[in-house]
Amino acid sequence: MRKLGFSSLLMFLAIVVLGLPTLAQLPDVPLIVPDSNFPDGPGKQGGDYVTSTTSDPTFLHPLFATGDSASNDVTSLAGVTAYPVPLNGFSGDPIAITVELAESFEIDDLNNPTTITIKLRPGLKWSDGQPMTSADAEFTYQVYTDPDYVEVARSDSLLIGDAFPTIEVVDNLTFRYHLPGPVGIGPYLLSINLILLPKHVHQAAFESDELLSEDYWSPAFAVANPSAIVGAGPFRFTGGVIGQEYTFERNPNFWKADSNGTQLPYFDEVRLIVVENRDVELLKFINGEVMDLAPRPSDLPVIRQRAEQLGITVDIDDPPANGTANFITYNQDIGLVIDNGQAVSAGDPYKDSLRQLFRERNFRRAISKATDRQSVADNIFLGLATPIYGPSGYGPFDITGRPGSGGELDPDFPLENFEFDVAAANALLDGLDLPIGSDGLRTFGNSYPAAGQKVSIALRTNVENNIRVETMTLLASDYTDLLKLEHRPDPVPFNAAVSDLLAFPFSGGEALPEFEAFHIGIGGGAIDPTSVLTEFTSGGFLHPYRFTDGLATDPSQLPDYQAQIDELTAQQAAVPSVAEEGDVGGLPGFLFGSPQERFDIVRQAQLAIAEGQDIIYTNSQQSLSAFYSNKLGNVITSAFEGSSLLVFAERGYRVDL
Amino acid sequence: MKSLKSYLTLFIALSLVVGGGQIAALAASTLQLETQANNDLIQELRLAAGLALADIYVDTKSIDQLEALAGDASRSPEHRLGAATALSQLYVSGVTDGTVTLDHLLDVATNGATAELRGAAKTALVDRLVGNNNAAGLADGLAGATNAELADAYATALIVRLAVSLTSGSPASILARTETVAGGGVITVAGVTLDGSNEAVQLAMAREYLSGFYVQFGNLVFDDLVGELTDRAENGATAGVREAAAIALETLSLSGQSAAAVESVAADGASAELRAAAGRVLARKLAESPDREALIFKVVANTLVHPEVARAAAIALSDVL
Repeated sequence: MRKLGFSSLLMFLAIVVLGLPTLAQLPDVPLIVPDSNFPDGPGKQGGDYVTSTTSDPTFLHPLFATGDSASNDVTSLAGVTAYPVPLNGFSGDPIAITVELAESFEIDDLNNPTTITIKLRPGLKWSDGQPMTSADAEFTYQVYTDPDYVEVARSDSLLIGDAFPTIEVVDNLTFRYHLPGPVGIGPYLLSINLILLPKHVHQAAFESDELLSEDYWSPAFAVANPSAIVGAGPFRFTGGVIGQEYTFERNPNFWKADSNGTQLPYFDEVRLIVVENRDVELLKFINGEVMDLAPRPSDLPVIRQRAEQLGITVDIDDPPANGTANFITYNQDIGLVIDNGQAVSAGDPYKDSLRQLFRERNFRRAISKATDRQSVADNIFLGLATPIYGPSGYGPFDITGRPGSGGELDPDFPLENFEFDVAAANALLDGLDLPIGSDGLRTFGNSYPAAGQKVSIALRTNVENNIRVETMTLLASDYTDLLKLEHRPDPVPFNAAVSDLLAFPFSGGEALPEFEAFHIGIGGGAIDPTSVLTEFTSGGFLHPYRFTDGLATDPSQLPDYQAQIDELTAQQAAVPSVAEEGDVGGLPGFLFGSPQERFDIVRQAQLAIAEGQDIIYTNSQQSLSAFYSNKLGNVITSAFEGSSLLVFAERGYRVDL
Repeated sequence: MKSLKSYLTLFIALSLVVGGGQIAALAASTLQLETQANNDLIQELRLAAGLALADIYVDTKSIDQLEALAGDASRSPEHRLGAATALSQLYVSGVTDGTVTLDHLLDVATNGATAELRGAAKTALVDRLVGNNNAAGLADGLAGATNAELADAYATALIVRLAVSLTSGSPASILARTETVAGGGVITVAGVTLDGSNEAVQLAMAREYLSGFYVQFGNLVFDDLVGELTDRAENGATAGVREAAAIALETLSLSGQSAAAVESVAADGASAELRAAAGRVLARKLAESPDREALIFKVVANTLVHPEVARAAAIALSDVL
């Protein structure tokens, strides 16, 4: 037998000791991402990716952080949200579901499901090295269905009828949901596919109710305690400086690899740089300090003449199917306060008058008909936007003719509610007792508490977004000049604006927003009617125009179209999908298509929403992207807005190293 | 009559003797490049050495050291430019990581001992000016600018800050508005006056906005975009008009032509702006497959007759020194 010499032994020890840190810490059954998911093919590890944001994150709380884009960026990169979820759900029609963090999942009967069984990949670890097990799933579900957490966690989408499913821990990796009643399993899988919370990290906070606090996992806490931010995404948070930047490193326990066996992500590090405004963001992109940009139309003249020289690629595409939908909404709860669970007047006649006016459907129709959407598209977006008449996210269910949705304009869609017609708009206002005052502007008539006072409405938007400020200024001027209805531009910081807009859910139903009118945009999220329609239901998280609908104990207390929306939303969610096994991005999965019955119900809901005009949609910008193609490979501008950062960060790589 | 080749050989030899440069040496050392940047007889060869030094200085020198170099009047302008180029990069990254302040950049741009040092602050200074001022504040700063470099920074920041407001209205109205400024006229946008008779404003409009507008949206307003821009680049009444069109032609026309064709424009183009634009494109084309000796030859052969060609060759040469 040949003996190992001393030098050989040293060499062996060196390999063992020095080699260990370089081994990928993949689970026993990693997810191998098919080559078709990499636009330029598998990449190579190394280097950093630097991108930007125009605001600091507001919340890193694993339950709350679904508001502003900066919070979403940080929490998704850190694997607090977006990952980990057991399944990967591609919303749309058909809905496509495949394994992600899970190794497998089973549904006992696709057409009449009573159980969903999910098995996690063996060997999974959280970013701190602790094992991920079904105990984490059980804990997560306990949090989501706790009565104190249902509102903030938006767990109403888990209800089947009036009941939540129950969860059973089968073994260390396997857990099973028992469904209390019939449900369309395709869309329901998107809802029950919860972001897992690491039990060992959050249990103490849950038991002490600290997990309910908005300050839990605040940005200040995170930068002081980066190792406490535990997730299971491609990166882990390493720290930052508030107002300056946030940094992430490759998660050594990430559970995906490419077909060559190279652990993902490829980037060693991600830096998210905070900039004061979008003009500075543009400059840092041109200067090469950041590697990609979502440019405004006005950025293109500053970029294009130097693009070739610098190696910048500019792409212009249709809006994503769930692209940002810009809109205006009026606070129909203004002047109300919550007292013992009831909405009561605060006793301000002027605000009571505004509320009375805003609740008139013809007022909202007048505003819609005085909104020159094409002018906004041409003059503010330089032709790089399209007028829209409804929200994004319906996908092929869309009946408003929204570009990029896959749907078509319905012949019964009330387009007349959206056509620019100043005379018709003024006629509607004339019927609402708003006589012209001595200064040529409308006043409240005798039917209002503040009779004789001038109507003056603050139209708010977030000051950091130059395009929104321009739009706000243009529309405020138009409404004042064309309708003689004074609107005052009211730009405010984004975080303050969002905090007020979502005062009701953030306060657990104790406070109402105080804005008068708001111009903002919402996009991203699932392409699925249930997700979109839920926002319009009485208890919807994004029902900022009339949160008090959520206090109604009987549909008769609601506007007729609102009760109709609530009922139709529930009906369409209960329609069974037509299910079949299929290939999803090269991985095995299920495809859930909707029968015509569901399309018909969603159509009725969209018509009801269009009649209500609670949200007056204006424009959706075409998808603009710019990036350094001499630095970045596998650039993905996802069809699903809001996820492209995470998807790209996971699969992108440096081509110049 | 001596052949051109023997003439150039003598010229190179003289450079070697007088400057002590080691042009033909492989992988020139920093000291060799510094010597070359200060002493070569041929301006463009000094430029090539200076730009090569920029790449070295970024990794080897501190901001303080580079400020001293770029502000040293005893150094050649080309050496100072190399130091300033490196310094500019360090300022930009320093602004991002918070180690370089607006006050310091303003001080450099205002009080720097040389034009190169003052100019080094521009890129980072524009970033900070935009981050800390609205358009009205930038207009006030421009009005109080005490030198050309400071005015350039304020004017650039102002145009960037006003880009959203400039991009308002129909494409034809945007064009009319911005060409007015590039042509020396006056407009008011977002309550701020842009006076094109101010050279800094005129050129900032041309370089930062109008040229890119032509590239991105020019086909919305012109049937024969390249033809219109060529006429402007050759015959425009002001430097701003000519500059904007020439820069746009880099992307829309010149970059798609052969190196020989571009060199012809760089040599004999009808305006200084057009020749400069062609020179920039030529530099990029020459850098794609650089041949050191051929580039040296091109520099020397053109330095006295076609300076933009010589400059382009020098820029490409700096990558292989």
